[in-house]
Amino acid sequence: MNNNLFGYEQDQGPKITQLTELNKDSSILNSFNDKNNVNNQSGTLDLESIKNNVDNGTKLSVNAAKKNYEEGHDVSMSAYLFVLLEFIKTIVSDIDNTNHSKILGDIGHDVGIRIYELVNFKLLNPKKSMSTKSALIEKMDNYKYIDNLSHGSTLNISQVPSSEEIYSYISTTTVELEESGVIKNLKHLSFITLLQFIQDTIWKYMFGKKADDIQKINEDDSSYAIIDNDPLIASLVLPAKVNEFICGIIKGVVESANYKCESVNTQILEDKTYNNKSAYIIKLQK
Amino acid sequence: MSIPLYFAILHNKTDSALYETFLASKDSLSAEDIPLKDLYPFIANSAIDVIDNIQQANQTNLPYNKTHLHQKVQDLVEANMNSKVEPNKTSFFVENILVKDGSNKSLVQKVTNTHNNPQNINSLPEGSLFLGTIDEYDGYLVSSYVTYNNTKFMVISDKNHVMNYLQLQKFFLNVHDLYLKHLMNPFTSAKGDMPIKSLLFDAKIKVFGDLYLLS
Repeated sequence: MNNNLFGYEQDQGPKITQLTELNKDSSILNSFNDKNNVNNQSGTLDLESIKNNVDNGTKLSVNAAKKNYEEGHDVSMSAYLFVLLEFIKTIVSDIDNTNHSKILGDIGHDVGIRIYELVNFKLLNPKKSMSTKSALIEKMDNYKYIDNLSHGSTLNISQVPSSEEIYSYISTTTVELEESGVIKNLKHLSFITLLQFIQDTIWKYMFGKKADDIQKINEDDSSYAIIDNDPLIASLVLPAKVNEFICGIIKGVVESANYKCESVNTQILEDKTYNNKSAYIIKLQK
Repeated sequence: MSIPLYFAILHNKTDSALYETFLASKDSLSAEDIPLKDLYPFIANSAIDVIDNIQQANQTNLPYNKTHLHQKVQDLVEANMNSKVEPNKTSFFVENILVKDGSNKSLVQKVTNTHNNPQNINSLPEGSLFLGTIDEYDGYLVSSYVTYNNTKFMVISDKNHVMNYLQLQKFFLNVHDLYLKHLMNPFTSAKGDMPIKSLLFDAKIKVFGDLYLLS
């Protein structure tokens, strides 16, 4: 019985195939060099070119991932959900007899405060794109941004760059104003515009799509609802718990915009087409 | 010999100072010799009321009734400005911001129609983050900027310092960017009012001050 049927010796299991070992295996070389083989498109096996190809491929993908990371593009959803699920698991299993939704909400609250500041700023002040990185900028990137709150002032002074370095660095990376000099950064003056901002921009930043609807619940302008037909992260793990986390984010945004928010609740609505249609109900203090 | 500028970042809820520093050029006085050195934090704190009022004015139209501004109106009245002062429009309005002329102490000079006057306040849109010069204390001008979550940045400059408002906006915008980087650090608390002690933050603020305010 020839072992070529499965491509490996069945008694020993599959081989560890490394590119350098391909040279030694005459059968593989033969099959690659066989011009009648349909799968063999390049004609001849050139190990050097294959190796270069693989190396360049990994380099490209690593560079692309690095670029994505630096420019702040998308986050891997599975990694994100894994962390979130671990959060929820720890809170639910380790802490007894407490209000789980409040703890989850507090985590979301911190996210909300930061996201409101960040999204607003990023939206209006795009940075100059740095296509070519000079040696100086790379050097500056290596300095770590350290907070030495817990250890007093044990930070080594030599870690901080000299003022000449910072000077030339800052002049290449500062945020530029428009010629007119009028600041175009504005606060949200009414609650409705803030609500639209959450529904549109913040939802897009977090989940890649807009929320589907905003509704006014009371006539006295005290409670509103944001409705999402198919919430991205809540549709995959524990919808009720994740919705509480999202409620915390909304509360953080509303409070950091200086509106007095009494509570944000969530509710999963019944719907024929969508399983996890969720409403986030914002209650304002009168 | 010029007097260094005072710069402070104030927390949005508790109003405690997250960061404060003196922005000094080479020929300016050292920090110990500044006459109002101990008063600066109080001047900054009193200006918080003005900031709150400016931001609420669009919604509520409450008349302004803070005591320190009443005192200021009285001072203005004493300086023979009766006809021009409206009590409800206190010192943060352009017409009421005064600078004492250094050469003639008896004269209270009105700042209008010059390139560097605080006229930008009038042309600022509603809800603007940059608030221009909002208050005045004995010739010291308080200029301010608020971030989206209401953290306040303040610069207190003395009467001899020529303020360029375009440069000031650039300074605040870049500090905002820097503050954002501090805020996004997962090891800082978003809600708490722990002071910023990072040396790099400190160094960068001083460079921004050199670059935009002192040159």
